[in-house]
Amino acid sequence: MGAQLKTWDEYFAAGVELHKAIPKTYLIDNASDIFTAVVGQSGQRFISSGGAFIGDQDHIRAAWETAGKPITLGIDAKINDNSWNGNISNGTVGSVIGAAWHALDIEQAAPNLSGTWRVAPNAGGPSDNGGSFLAISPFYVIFLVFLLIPIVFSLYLAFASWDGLGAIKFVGLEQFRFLVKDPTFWLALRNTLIIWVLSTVPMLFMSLVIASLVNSTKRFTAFYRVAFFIPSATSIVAIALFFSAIFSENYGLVNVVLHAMHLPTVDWLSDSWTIKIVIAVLMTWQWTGYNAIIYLAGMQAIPPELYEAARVDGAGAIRMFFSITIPLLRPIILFTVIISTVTGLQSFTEPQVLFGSAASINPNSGGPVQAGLTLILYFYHQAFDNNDFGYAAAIAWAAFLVILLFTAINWRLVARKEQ
Amino acid sequence: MSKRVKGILLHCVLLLCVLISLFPFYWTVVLATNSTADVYKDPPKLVFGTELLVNIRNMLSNIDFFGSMFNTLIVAVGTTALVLFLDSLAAFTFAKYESPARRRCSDCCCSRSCCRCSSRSSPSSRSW
Repeated sequence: MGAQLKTWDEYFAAGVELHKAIPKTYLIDNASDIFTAVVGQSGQRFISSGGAFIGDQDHIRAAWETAGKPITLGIDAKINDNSWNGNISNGTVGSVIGAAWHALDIEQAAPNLSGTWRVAPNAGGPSDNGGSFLAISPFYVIFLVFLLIPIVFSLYLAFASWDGLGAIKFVGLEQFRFLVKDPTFWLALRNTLIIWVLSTVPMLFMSLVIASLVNSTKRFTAFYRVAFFIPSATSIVAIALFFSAIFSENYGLVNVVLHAMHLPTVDWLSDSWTIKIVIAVLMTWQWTGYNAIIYLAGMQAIPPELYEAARVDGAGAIRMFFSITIPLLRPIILFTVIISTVTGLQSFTEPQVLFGSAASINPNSGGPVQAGLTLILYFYHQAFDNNDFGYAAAIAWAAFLVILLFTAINWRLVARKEQ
Repeated sequence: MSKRVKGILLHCVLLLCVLISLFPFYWTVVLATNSTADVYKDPPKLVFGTELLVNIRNMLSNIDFFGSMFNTLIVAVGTTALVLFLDSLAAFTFAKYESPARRRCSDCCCSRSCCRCSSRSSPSSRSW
């Protein structure tokens, strides 16, 4: 019997053949085992929780019918005592249906047969893996088509030269050789890191402060949470347009306020540093509330007894914050630091919307002196303005490595203290 | 008494944060109710104007607002429905059926959601 038997009928058919070939051998010792097994396969029971036999139900009838088949086919040895293991040994019974430890019984009762029999692979219950693979396949088809294949293709493109239409020419490490000598790439990297530090550090700090302030009160917390969360649920394009309006040189609200306070006005969107500050302020404004909500959830999980004990010991609010809140919040801080690193180093929409993406001359170049040119914006510029997809892919993979590096550094910094 | 003062101070600080958080939304509404000339006035107007209906009329004649809105709606409803259906199907299968393949698949599924997370600020998934 080489083939794997999937159904009871296949099993019985094999038994009929076996009995025909060796007349003294029957398929099973007793058909009642089949009844028990079929009821088990249906996921139901034949003895109710009260101990009574369940009779007139469909799964019982089906099991009875299946168990009756080997009797009508004459492949049931009709052994009603516990001598089945002996009958295996003398060849009267060809197979046994039962619990896993029966294998051990057989091994002990029929040492002469050792190695000539084996445990049948599980044919599965009423539903096999086919159905479950069908259920998860849409997810994985989408995963494959929209994520895995593009990633592999972009890796291939990083070692090739392609204008998006013509033939793809393999150039080896040429793109990366150009990349390390490209001053614009290093400028973009520097811009990205500066903007990331300028946004992430104050953002996470303010988030912590806001979260602990909200946590220390019981009033209006729902209102505060909604109010702080709204910016992160707002379209980044709308926000970027708003910031370009309030930071504009002549009519911007910020300059008007500065002027009213008799302070010198600033050309926010033309200087190398102020451009980065505007982008960082934008990102800070958008994500501070989001991180505060996450911190708040973490703070509410800290048992109040710890604070009470600290208060009894004479600890002040500041001491409790640094000795209880921060250490217990560390896993959550780690999460926000990683997320902020990954998103902050991928800033794209902010400079893209702020600085003339529609300009006919050199679009998407990051504004005056390219001060807002981030890695991802530079990648976008190379791919979709210059149609240099090979070089763009090289930039994308370099950006990936940079992000990986900084994520790993941050992970080590925050996670190590946990020990 | 000092506790009360502390509480009031706390809510004042929080309200200031709320003000910063919500100001852009307020100001956008203010801009929508004022004329273009008011927007560029020095100092800029910070209170509601009377030009809302005029602005709406201009907007409707300049851009296909309802067409764009309809496109957005199709994308939003389609995405939500597909995500709910396909992901709950996959999640149910992972939860219900045990197999070695399942474990590998769900690992892969989780690594994908990490990727999703990390691409939060990429242009395509900024709606996150």
